[in-house]
Amino acid sequence: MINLSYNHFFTLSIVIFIIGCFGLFLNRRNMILILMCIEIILLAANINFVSASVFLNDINGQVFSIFILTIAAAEAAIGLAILVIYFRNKGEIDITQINQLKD
Amino acid sequence: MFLVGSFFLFSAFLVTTCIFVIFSKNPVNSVLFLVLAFLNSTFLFILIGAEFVGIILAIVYIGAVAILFLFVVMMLDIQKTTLMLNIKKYIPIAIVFASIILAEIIYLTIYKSSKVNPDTIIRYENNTEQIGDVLYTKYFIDFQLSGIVLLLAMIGAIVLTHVYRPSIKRQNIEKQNTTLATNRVKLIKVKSGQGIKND
Amino acid sequence: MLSYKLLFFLPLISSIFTYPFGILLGEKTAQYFSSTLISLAAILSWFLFIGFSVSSSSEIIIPVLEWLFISGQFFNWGISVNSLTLLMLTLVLTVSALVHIYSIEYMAHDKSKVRFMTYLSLFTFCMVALVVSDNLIQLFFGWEGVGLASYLLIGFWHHKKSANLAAMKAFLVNRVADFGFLIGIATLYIFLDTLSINEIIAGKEKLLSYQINFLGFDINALIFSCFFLFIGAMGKSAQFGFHTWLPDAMEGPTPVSALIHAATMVTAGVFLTVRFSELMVMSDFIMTFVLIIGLLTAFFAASVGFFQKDIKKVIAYSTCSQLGFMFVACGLGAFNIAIFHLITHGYFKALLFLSSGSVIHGVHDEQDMDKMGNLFSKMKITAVMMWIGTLAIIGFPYSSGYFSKDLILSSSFNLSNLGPLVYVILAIVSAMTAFYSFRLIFKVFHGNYNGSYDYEKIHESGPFMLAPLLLLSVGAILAGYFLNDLLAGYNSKNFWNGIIFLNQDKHYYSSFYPILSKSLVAVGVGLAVYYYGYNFNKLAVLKKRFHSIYNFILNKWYFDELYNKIFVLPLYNLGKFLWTKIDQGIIDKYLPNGSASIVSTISKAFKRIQTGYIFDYTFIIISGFTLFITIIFYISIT
Repeated sequence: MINLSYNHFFTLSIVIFIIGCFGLFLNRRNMILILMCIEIILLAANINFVSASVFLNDINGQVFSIFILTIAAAEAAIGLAILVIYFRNKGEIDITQINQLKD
Repeated sequence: MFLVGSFFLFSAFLVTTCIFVIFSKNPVNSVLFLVLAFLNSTFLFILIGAEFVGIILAIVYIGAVAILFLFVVMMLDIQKTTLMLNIKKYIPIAIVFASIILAEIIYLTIYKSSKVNPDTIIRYENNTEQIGDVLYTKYFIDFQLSGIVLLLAMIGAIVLTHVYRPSIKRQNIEKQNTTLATNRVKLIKVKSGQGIKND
Repeated sequence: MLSYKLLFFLPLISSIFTYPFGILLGEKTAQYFSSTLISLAAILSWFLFIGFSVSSSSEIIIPVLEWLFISGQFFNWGISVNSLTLLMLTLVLTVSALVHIYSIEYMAHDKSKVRFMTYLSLFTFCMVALVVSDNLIQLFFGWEGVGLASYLLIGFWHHKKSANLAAMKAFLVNRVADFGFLIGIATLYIFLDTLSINEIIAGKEKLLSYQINFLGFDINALIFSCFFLFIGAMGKSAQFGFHTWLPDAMEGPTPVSALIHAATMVTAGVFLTVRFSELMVMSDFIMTFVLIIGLLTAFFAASVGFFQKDIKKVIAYSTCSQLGFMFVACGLGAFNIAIFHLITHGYFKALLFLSSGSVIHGVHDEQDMDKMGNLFSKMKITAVMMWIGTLAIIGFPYSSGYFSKDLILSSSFNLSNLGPLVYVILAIVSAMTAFYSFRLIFKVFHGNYNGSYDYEKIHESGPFMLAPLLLLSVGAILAGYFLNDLLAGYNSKNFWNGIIFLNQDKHYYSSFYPILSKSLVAVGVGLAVYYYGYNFNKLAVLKKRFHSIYNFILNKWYFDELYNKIFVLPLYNLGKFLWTKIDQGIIDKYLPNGSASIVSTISKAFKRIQTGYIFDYTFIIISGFTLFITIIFYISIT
């Protein structure tokens, strides 16, 4: 009989975080995937905050989790707006075509 | 028992769907798997006793952010591209790094950190009341600020993607307010039986 | 005192100021300037010599300048005035002055005459410093200085590659011998704690009592140091084994050969041996060694002189052979006779060289004797001078060579058991000397002319070249007669006054031996007359019949090839190997070039990280994060 403790949730959160990070790195297709991986990372942070607050009997974690939510939504909106404009200018959002950072 | 089992179930689903987000061929599938990921995390939150946060997650993340993603994915012309062609040689090193980071972080935080003792007073209210107790009193300013952030994000998104189409009828209030009657209406005395020259 | 210091400084002033005078006042003025200064020094040296020999003082030491102060001891410039040094000084300065005057005309068509005069004066100064020095450091300075001046003068025509190589060869062979000399000086300093010559000679008993452990062997300190001093002398005087530089040194202009390689520099070795005669006689081994080396050199050089084609090389080998005679005299204990022969040899050898210079000048710089002949009618004075010099060298009765050579031959009976053998060898060498000297005369002045230069244009040389010849011929004829009594006769003990070792024993021998030597000389002259005066064709037949011996002697007993194989080629290959493989291949490749190329390689490698793709940059971020976590992990473990 395993008692559910904070460590399990923390492990879960780290795993989700790593999946999100490596999704960023293994992405060779389009830019939407970048924004989605960012959302996954933020989700991991959220899980960490909430579970910590539950297991430590402190409500501040959940409050902060709501703020994170807010920011995530705002950032997703702006990110998608930029993506739309980029598509308008370039005609495609293939990530292997944006290497102008090199020059 | 129920708790543990469902925790493992939902966390397994969560991890799986996250992996599928990355490795789907169709971007629409990616978005839908993202939705599933959020759903599973909602269930996890409700399981743990933070139901308010879970429902808010469902409403905001799934109902707004994921829908936004879906809109954009549908709007842009995204090709179904081949996936494994480019990634094959990077997966091993990704697995290596991932396992290193995982192992070390878990070792450092779980086996090395001291046990934390909760020292706050436990009140047996439900989660919504707990949050509301704090959000509008102690974190009032942060709450207002997050509203302003959302406002900014909205303005930013509109400004970024706005296209000026000259053929759309619009109002210019300033022009409307600063016209004089003499610019718009002209009184002309007409003799009967004679017309007016249109010039 | 002032006059001695003037002797010391006049050549120095001449060497320093000739070149600026040449630029400021013109070439002719500079030449006259340096010749005048050296001539003044020469005349002064004669006055001082005569004045000193009639006085009764044995030695005066005149300090000139403070020089070095090392570990509590002073090593200063000083002049040691005694009969030996003054006598040498007269020879050195007289020949040097005559060579200066001679080169005014000989180098008249050369474009760097002023440089030539500067180098000649520099040489004179260094030789004077060597001769008058009272300590070994100043002597070594003079030693190296004359070596340097010799290098500069041999390679005077530096656009000729052969001259450069010959100059380097001279300097390097000298260097090897100087290394031995330095070992000798160091040994003397270690055991006697002084480098002053008088103190060293005074401490000879003490030196005899020490043993030095050299490479595991215990050798007597006196024998060790004298041996290495003699090695230095061998190098400077071109004795057997160290002689290879002397024939090649004929690449320099003829006045150089006359000054350096006849009268002064090559006699520095003999001078050193005689200066340290008190030390050398204390060891039988050293005396025997000197004797054997002298004999070998005399015989070897005389044999090679038989078949040489270049006129100056014949005279060079003749010098080498006569130096061997001088060392034989030293080895027999007759140091005063060695000096006597040195002086007379200086005069007639300089005469021979300068006359050959006149001949070369007359046939428009042709040095090959095969292309000369029948020059007697065209250059009468030069020919007569050459005859006088040759008669002196073979020991014609009452010329100077007669006195000194005869004394050397008779002093071979100082050795009790092997005396006659040495005498016979020396007599044979004298015969050989006569042969090749007359060969030279007949090939150059008699017979038929087979040169390429127009015969009618050959003319006698001018007054500046003939006057030194005349003066030297006076010395060649009269020096022996006048100096015989002073140096080697009844007044010699008063003259030398204890500076060098004098052998007082009288040895008797039957009159058979002088008759033998004279008849051998006559045979040599007769053979020369027979083959080179009248029947040239018989020579070709002889050459063909004994052609292997002929080639062996013609190629100087293959010494150059031997040395090349043993010393030069391995060192050259080693140097080349070290240069290409190690210096260029390893050090240059890895240190300067290597670090530059490492930088460029590393930067090329790092350039590949900058791809421009976001996902690659995120990978870098993740890797950095991994590294960070790992470091914290390891810190928390330990």
